[in-house]
Amino acid sequence: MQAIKLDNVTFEYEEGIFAVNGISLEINQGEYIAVVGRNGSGKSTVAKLINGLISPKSGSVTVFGMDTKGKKDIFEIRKRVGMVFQNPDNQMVATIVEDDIAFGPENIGVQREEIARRIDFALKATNTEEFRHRPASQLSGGQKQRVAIAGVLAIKPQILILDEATSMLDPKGRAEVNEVIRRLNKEEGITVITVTHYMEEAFEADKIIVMKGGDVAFAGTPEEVFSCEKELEECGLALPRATYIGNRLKEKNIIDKNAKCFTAKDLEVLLCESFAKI
Amino acid sequence: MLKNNLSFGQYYQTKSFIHSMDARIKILLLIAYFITIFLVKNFWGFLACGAFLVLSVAFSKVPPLSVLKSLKGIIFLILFTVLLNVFFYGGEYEVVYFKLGNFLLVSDASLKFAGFMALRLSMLIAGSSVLTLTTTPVELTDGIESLLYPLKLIKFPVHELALIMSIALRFIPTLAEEADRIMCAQKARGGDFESGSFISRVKAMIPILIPLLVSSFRRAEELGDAMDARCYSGSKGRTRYKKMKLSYRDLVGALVYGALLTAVILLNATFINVI
Repeated sequence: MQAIKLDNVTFEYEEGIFAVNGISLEINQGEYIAVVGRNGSGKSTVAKLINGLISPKSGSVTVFGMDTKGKKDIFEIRKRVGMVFQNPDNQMVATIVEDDIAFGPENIGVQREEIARRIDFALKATNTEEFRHRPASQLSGGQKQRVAIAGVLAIKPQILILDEATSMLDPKGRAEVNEVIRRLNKEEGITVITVTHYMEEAFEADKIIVMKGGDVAFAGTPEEVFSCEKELEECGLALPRATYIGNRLKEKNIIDKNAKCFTAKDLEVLLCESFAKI
Repeated sequence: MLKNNLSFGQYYQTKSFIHSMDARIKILLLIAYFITIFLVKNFWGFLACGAFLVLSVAFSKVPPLSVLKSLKGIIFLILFTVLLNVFFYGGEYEVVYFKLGNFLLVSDASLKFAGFMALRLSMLIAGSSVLTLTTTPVELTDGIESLLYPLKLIKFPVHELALIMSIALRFIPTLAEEADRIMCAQKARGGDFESGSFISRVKAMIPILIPLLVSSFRRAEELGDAMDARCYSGSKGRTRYKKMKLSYRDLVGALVYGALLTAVILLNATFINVI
């Protein structure tokens, strides 16, 4: 089922300078999409367009058949599209974790008993039950960001957008958050769109959309995208480290040229094989 | 560290008698306590208020140190009031210790008055910090919202006001952390905040305050987006997760306060009034 459709969308923050320039794309329910691109490529703007925080200058953005330009539907769209931002400190309204998670359901008029159930669900899904009554300011970055995801989950969205949600976290925090996201996609069937700088993170997705100059440069499965080193470089992006090392080793004929080498695991196996030959 | 000095507005998490009281009652009791402090006219009255304060701290299980720490923030205000009152007290006096011109005059009465002013101010702040230490900002703002409810009839934006307050409280530790960071950044580039005259130290704060202000605007914008994305659309159609309930504790609190008020009135009547 089609969840999101962008049709020839443009958007400008300043007159004449297009942040998004005639982009068209479709995303289906249940997909896990990574959007990559260098700074200023328009990836965050796309994220904001999808849940109607900004509306397109021309073209249309439709979410489950509802246009984000329609004032009436915007509330319904935001119920279905949850968004997590970069800085966990700037998206919490309440001091205590539990109160903050309740904020979303309160806004959409959920009854008290149901809010309690949703808080339980959101805390469990993000593995943050132990922080329920703690002030968010005492948590680490990764923990805070998981709480922010819980705050969005309590609204029961069908689509979760993460706008560079892991960029301020340390590797441990990043791993924690990514594990939660993966589980939500696989077990709860939530459509995930993650805007990211980390290629290793993008590799987790079903599909990668590479952006350049406010438009889609190319898209495909992670393996397809990471097979195009040249094209990625033109978009100002680098391969995941393991893929990059693998490619260099292939050039020197140290590992098999036709072998698949994308992740650190792939590289490890190939290297061990090549050592065995020596 | 600036962060550690900011116990005002910081919730202390534990389970206690005072923590479980209804926020509305706590707010009303605090206001009543404020009024009582200004009713006090002699030393014994202050002792009674002090006992009330100590009792509330004891039953809140909050470390007394964190209540005292809240005074640190207003120490300059206290000193300022004391100095003004010592030199410019205009009431009747018996003994003169120091006189300069027609206005500057230090007397026994001015010293006493200044002392009581300092006591009053510190007890006010200590009392309000007991409230903020034992009540989460959300409870606090829910309480205020509920108490101000009648104002909704004249279209006063009660909910919006309450939300603004709760967000302000929520951002105190975040901004304190940020101020610390900016301070370190300025120090690393040779900024000096500790030496020099009072004026030059105040001037040295400007390179901290301006980046702080700019970054709070940026934060406000991001928070606005985040709230929009979480379906915030004002008080209309909004439900509440936390329900406020009165319990026997609130009755006990009110009774203890009643005892304090009676004591203060009796003490005012019995002993010689200083102010």
